[in-house]
Parts: sequence; structure tokens; C-alpha cells
Amino acid sequence: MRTKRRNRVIFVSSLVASLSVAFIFIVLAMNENVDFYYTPSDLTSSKIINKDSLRIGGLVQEDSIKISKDSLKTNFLVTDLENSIEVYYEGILPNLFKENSGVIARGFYDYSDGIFYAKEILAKHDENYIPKEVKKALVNDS
Amino acid sequence: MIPELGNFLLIFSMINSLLLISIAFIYPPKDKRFFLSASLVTFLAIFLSFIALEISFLTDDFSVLYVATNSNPNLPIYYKFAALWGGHEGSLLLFLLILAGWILVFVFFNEDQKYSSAFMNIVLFALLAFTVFLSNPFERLLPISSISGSDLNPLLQDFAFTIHPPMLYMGYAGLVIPFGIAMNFLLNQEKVKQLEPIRSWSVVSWSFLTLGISLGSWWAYYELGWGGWWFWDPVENSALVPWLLCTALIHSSIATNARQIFINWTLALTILSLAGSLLGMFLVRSGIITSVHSFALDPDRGIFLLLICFVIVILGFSLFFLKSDRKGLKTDMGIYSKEFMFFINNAFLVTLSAIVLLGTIYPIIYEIFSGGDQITVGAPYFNLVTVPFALILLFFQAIGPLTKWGGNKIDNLNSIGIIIISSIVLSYLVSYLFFSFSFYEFVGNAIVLMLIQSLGFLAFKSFHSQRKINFSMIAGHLGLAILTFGITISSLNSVEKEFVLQKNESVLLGSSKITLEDTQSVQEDNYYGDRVTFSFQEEDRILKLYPERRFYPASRMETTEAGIYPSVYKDVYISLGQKIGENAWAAKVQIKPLVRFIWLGAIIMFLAGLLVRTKFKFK
Repeated sequence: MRTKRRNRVIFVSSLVASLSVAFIFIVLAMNENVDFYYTPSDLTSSKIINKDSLRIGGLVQEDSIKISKDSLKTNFLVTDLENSIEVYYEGILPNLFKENSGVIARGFYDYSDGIFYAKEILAKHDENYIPKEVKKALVNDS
Repeated sequence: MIPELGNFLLIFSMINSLLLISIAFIYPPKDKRFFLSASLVTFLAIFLSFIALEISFLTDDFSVLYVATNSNPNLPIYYKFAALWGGHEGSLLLFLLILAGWILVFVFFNEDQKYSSAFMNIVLFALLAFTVFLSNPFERLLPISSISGSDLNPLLQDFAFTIHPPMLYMGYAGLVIPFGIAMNFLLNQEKVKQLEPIRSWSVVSWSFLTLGISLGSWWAYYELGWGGWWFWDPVENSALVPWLLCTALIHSSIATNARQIFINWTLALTILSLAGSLLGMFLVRSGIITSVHSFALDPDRGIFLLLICFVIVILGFSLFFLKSDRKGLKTDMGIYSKEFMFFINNAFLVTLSAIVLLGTIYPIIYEIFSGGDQITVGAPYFNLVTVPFALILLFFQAIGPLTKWGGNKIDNLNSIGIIIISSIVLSYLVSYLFFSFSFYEFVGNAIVLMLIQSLGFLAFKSFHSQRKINFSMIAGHLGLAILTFGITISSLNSVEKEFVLQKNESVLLGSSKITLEDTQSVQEDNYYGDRVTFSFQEEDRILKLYPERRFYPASRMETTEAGIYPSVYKDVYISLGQKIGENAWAAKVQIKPLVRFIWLGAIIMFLAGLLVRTKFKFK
């Protein structure tokens, strides 16, 4: 009986220990792989945001898309109708990328030249669908 | 007229379902015929209501709001038919039809009824009420504002899409059967034997979930033009969570049937996996999480799905805690017993599902507690956290089938040792010789080799000793081994390149040469666009690929059709980016070795699951 109880104590405590190790592991992994979301106004405000990876969202400003003729380089402006930020991206653009429609870019913001270097431009499947973040940015400003 | 009839039938089936529930609880009929006829009537009413909506779709009745927003006169007839489940209301109707169908099948095959079908009908009734009052597909759009309708989302105009939701729903809805059986057991606990059918029913659900998820993955692969087969998107995750829980349920119920252990755990898992599938529907439909495939969103109605989910969880667990006799495990679990292996299996599967769920809903939790800050949890989190857990689980999957029930019998120990060592050596050689050697490659291959050897050993032993062989289990596990092999090799050995090409220009990827040969325009009934011809030259072989960019005028949407050259060994995959100038295109080429193994493995798993009741004996 005694050994049985001891076994159970060992079993439960090892379960708790391994669960907490797993939990810490998960939280650490989460913290390193979470992207925060900002609007162009957040980035142009005085508060400095130092993150290696973040997401910005808004509308692609009219007449701002500059596509290189012989490479995959693209520059455009993302606006929340109050402030706008220049985005640089090298790669394939998603299907629904066009002027005056919602866009989310993931990358980092370089304060020295004021350009957002995007690693990824997110594609949306439905043209009626505005990303929640973009909607929020637009509603806040109107 | 027909839509009104459909609506009436839906309300009728709702009332009928409510009647079945009340009669079953207040004055339980002894006769199975009562349940059979009531379930049949409910099913037929929903079926006719489904047909009514199909008629509205096929006759382009745009006075029905749902038809107007999801169909178009120019749509090919096959897609008009499938457009029914292209949006929120219709897909819910399809779900109801399948759910009522499962209940009918269950009642037909099971003699021992009592409350099981009544509990299943509670879920059915809740969803029927939700459909009738809050998301009615028969709602009229008056006065008629458009005679053309908008369109079925072009990305959904595709074969895999048309069968993906029905298969997935077969799986989701099927989980209501184990739930009903478990609840019935809790109300009148007679013998543990009552829980036996849970195993087969959960395996059948699991089969369809597997097929549904892999069809979705296949669709995403060739239709979205990114060349990926899994994106850790909230929508995918919300199907993966019930799949993991259902897998745990299958194993737990095997242990319950064989040894009368894990009884409470099996009961809890039936509730959790049903809750998982309802929560999944809520996550998909509510749009609460920014997802790349958010179709048909409506946050307010989503809340009611969440409410239904809560009610069922609360109902299930209150019954569970009130009624379940909380006796501890009677068997002693030696570290080398089959019991222990099943424990490991369940612990890891449930942990995995918790990890995936946590990552999926973490943005919501964070937003609430940080006062509106928005974040996303990226694929790196999921890969980092799930892969090690999955690998350990697979390691035990190779050992588990070789162990024996009952604490201390040590069996097959030498064979296991040989299997482990030979797998390590072989994997080292294979990874070194054929692929770019890396840690994960080595571990992944070693585990796949272990799985295959262990299953082969098992089959050989059954053959040798003329015992019955559990073909379904062996094939199912083998399917997972093939899938794991496909994932390991294609994830670690794919190459890709993005480029801009003029007509007749070439680019090199490794030793292969890609040339843009021609551009032409295409024109079809429901879309127009450009088609580009690429040649892919590899040693002496020349492949032609024809990726397209399409524009669908009805929904004003642009899509990319990837040009894919599929083969068993590898896929060549080209997707078009932006058009640059007159004859130049941006494009992305990918070479994905063994990517087909992923879906091949999944199909084997699906078929194996359907054979759940079969056991073969070698003569």
C-alpha cells in the first residue's frame, strides 16, 4: 500500500514537473514567434517601436505603387488615411494587391530611413474582406 | 414557393427533433422503432429542405438572398450545385443534413438505444434552431436588386473544394455519436460493454476528418498558388484539434474495451472532441481570428455557435461529474505495458491539441487582456512546439503495437532493440546519401523506418502464428508513416526561386533550366486571363508547365492557377506573380520532392479507417 502511494506521488509530481516544463517551453516559443500589429500612425508617432518582426496594415495608397521593370522590387505606400509609410518589398505580390485595397505587411521598420522592409505581403482571398486590423485602423481615423 | 417549402421543412424537422428529445426523456419508449421512424422523418425533412435550396441554386432564383450572394448564372452547373455549401448558411444546412444522416445510421445499426439518440438530437436541435432563427438560408431578398447574383468565390470553383466540406462535415458530425453513447452510459450505467461501439464510430469519424483535412490541404496546395500544403492557419488548426482529440479517443476507447481502464477518460474525450469540432466551426465561421481563408464571416452569429458549444460542454461535463463513478485505475501500469503505451499516446495527443488550440486562440486572449493590442502567432511557433512532441509520439507509435496488455509481460524486447538500432543506422545512411543531411531529416527518417519495421514485424508475427491480423490498424499506422516521410522529405529538401523573365529568357535553379516560352490570353464563360508557357529542362527531360492568372468579372477577383507537373518523386510547381511589361512576368518556381506522399499517406489512413471492423486471418 505504501509503495503504491509513493508510486502515485512520484507519478503525479513527475506529471506536474513535465507539464510545467512543457508550459514554459511553449510560452517561450510563443513570445519569440508572435508578431505585433501596428498602424502607420503608430510607427510615425514619437514612440519608438523596436521589434525585429512586426506587422503593419492599411490601404495601399493611390498612385504609390512603383514596380521595377526587371526585378521583383516593389515600393508602395501604406496609409491609414492619416499617416502613411513607405514599404519596400522584393518578391511575388499577392493576387489581390492593388491600389485602395487592404494590405498587411510583415517585416521590420527602419527608423533611419523611414522605410518598412517587408518580408511578406499577406494575400486575402476575398476582395470584399477587409482584414480586421485594417478595418480598425480605418474606423479609428474616420 | 419552393424556398418557403424548404424553410417550412426545416422548422418541421426542428420540432420533430425536439419531440424526440422530450419523449425519450419523459416517457422512454421501449421500442427501437420509435427512434428509427422519428430519426427518419427528421432526416427526410432536412433532406427535402436541402433539395429545395439546391433547386433555388440550379434555377438561379436570386430572390433568395443566399443564392444571390453565392451563385451566378454563368457558373457551370456542377458548381451551381456545390455553391450551396460555399457560404455560411448553406454549409450549415449541409452539416445538419449529414448530422441527421449519422443519427439515422446509428439508430439503424444499434439495438441498445435508451437516451443515446436523444442526446445526439440535442446537438441537432440546437443547430437546427440556430439555422432557422439566426442563419436561415431561405431568407428572401426583396425587392430583387440584382438579376445576375454575385458569384461563388472563384477559389472555391474547384473540384477538391466541392467535396472537401462534405467530407470534413462527415467527420465533425460523426463525433456526435460517441458523445451520445457516452451520455447514455452516464445516465444509466449498466456495463462498460455499452461503451464498446465508441471505438468503431470514432474511427469512422476520424477517417472522414482525415480525408476532409487532406483534401483541404491538397486544395490549398494547388489552388492558392503558394505551393504550401499546411499554413497553420486558424481554419486548418480548428480542424486539426478535433482530429487529434478524435485520435486520442480511438486509442483510449480501445484500452477501455480491452481492459476496462481509462473509462472516465474515454467519456471525457467524447465530450472534448465534440466540443473541439463545434469550437472549430465557431472559429471558422465567426472570423474572430484574422485568417487567410476567412470565407463567409459573421461575428455576431458566431457567438451563438460558441454558446451552443458551451452548453454542450457544460451539459456533458456536469453529467460526467455527477454520474461518473470516480474509481481509480485498477490495472498496474508497468513502463513496458500496452496500458502505458496508450497512456503516452493519449497524453501526447491531448497535449498536442492543447498546444495547437492555445496558439490559435492566443491572439484573442492577448487582445482581451492587453486592452486591444493585436498580435498574430506565426507558423514558427507551431513548427517549433509541435514537431518535437509529434516525433516523440511517433517513436512510441513504433513501439506500442509490439507491447502486451498487463503490467509485466516483457515481450519482443530484442526485436524492438534491433528495430531501433537498424533504423538509426539505415536513416543515417539514407539521409547522408540521398538528401542534404540534417538533424530533423535524420530523426524523421529514423522514426519512419522504425514504424515500418515495427508494422512489418507485427504482420509477420501474426502470419507466422496464424493469429488474426488487425489490418485496419496496420494500414492506418502505415499511412501515417508514409505521410511523415512525405512531410520530412518535402519540408527539408524543397527548393524555390523567384524571378522575372522576358519571353525566351531562361533562369537556372540548381541544374534545371526554366524558360518562358510563350504568353497567350484565355477566355472562358466565367473568367478571362493570361496563360504563360514555361519549359522546365532537367538533364534530357523537358516538361511544360502552364500557370495562369485569371480574372473573374462577376466577383471582380483575380486568382493564380499554379502550373504543376506532378510525379511520385517530385512536383515541379510554377506560380505567376505580377505581369511586368508586355511579355515579362514575375514567377516563382518550386521543386518539392515526395510531396505527394503526404496525401497518399492520408488516403491510406482514410481507407484503413473505413475497414475498422475487419480482421484478416492468414490460412
